Amino acid sequence: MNEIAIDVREVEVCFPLVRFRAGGIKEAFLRAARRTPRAGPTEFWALKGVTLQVKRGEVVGLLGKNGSGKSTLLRVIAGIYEPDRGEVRVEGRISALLELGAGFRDELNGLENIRLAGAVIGLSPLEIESQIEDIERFADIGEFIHQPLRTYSSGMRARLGFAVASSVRPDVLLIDEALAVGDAQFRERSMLKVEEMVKSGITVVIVSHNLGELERLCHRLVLINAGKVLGSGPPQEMLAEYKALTTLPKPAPKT
Amino acid sequence: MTRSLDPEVTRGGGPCIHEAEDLVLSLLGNLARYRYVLRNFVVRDLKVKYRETVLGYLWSLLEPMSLVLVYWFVFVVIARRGGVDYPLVVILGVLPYNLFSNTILGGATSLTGNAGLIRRVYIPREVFVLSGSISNLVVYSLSMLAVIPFMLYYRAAPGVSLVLLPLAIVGLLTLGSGIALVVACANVLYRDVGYLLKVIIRLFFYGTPVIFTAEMVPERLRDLFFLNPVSVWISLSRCAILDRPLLFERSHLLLAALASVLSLMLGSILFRRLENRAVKSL
Repeated sequence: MNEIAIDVREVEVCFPLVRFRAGGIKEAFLRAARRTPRAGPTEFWALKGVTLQVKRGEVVGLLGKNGSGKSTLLRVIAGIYEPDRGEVRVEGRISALLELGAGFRDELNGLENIRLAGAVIGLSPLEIESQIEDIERFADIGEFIHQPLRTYSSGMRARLGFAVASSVRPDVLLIDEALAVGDAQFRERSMLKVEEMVKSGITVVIVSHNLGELERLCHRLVLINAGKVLGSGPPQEMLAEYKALTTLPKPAPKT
Repeated sequence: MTRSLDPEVTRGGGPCIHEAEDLVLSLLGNLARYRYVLRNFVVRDLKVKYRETVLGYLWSLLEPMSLVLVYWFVFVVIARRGGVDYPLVVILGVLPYNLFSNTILGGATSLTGNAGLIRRVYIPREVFVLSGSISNLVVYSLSMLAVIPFMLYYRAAPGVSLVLLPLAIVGLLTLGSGIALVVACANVLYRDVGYLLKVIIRLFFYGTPVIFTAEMVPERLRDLFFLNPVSVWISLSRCAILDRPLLFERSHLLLAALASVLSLMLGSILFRRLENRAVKSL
């Protein structure tokens, strides 16, 4: 049980800043014609040398302020972003809960969306059909399952999304803020579902700002700030460090 | 700060034919591996296209037919040109041209239009682009039914040369898909590409034998005319269905085939080099 399921080594990811393409082709031509270099930074390094190993069966939470690079790291693990430097290796089937309802279409009804989203996250038609009743039951949105998605409330959308995404039996589960949806009852059911999945021995990486949720689910927390790993350790320790990091500095006393 | 935008360049050295072949195979292999997603995308495209319309599928017949009506009116009624079976000629030009142009235009928006999905789940990006090609192929096949009444009316019957039709369609689709792969990425980086394409495709329409046949092209220009692979494929598809003599040489056909293969190869190479940058800009 000591195998490494996710191996992230010295990963760096760089985004071109929007100004890079702000004016489209016209801008690019003009710049070339005038030979003026672009002013200011043209790129943003979201991850600056992140190394992270997650063992099989481990539940790791990523902690950090907005814009610190947590979601980017999750996307690198999911294979969505190719690292500009460094290496990523993941063993087994990945299911990513990066925002719920990925792959849904407004024009299709609930059942059609289950089939579409199921295929998108890697289920074969056979697997989908064998689970479609379970998914329907877990989403628990009644007759709306036969209605087009655009008639859904945002909570119903999220329920359906979570129901589909959690129906995969992945080896690695990536969750990005996905549990912070729906009403209290549905959130509790989602938490239980994740706990059940964790017990079956899968590897989980969670991004969340819900500290209670992180403490409850995770074996280990990793604190990320400005694209770098600040530290990693047992939840309570890291939560304290996170709180120290996010506490606003006291305003300077007036003289 | 220095960085290599595309690791392929530093890794690969110069791209040679074998590399391009491998790339094309890896793209097609991904289509096979993700066939359930592919099928769902195609079905979704078709469903969304006709959902909540009263006439549904009939639209894909009415659309080209209305074009035929317009060109028949302009050419035959007003300008008094074109042969007796001009409407049949036009519909057999419009349908393959739509296949080609919609593959490219659909390709241009295939990444930008699926941004939400691409940023959330990993699916090989070529699936988004090439599922559009397949959807267009399905639409083309379905709208070929619109040809039947014209064939009956003008008493035209296909002959043995019908076996050449798949060749023409595959040629057209390969050519279009290669271009689609490039413009899909280009349109993410510069949205101008989408607009530019619409203009180009509109102009190109009049340079290919859609509303006229190769016979109407002056003989001294024909050699030049058939250097355009789209002209070869559209002519071939029409002559295959109507069982008419081909007006181009074997060398034109070979050139067009070469263009289609090269398009797919170059498209695959450029796609692999640009896709990662494109995804980050979505």
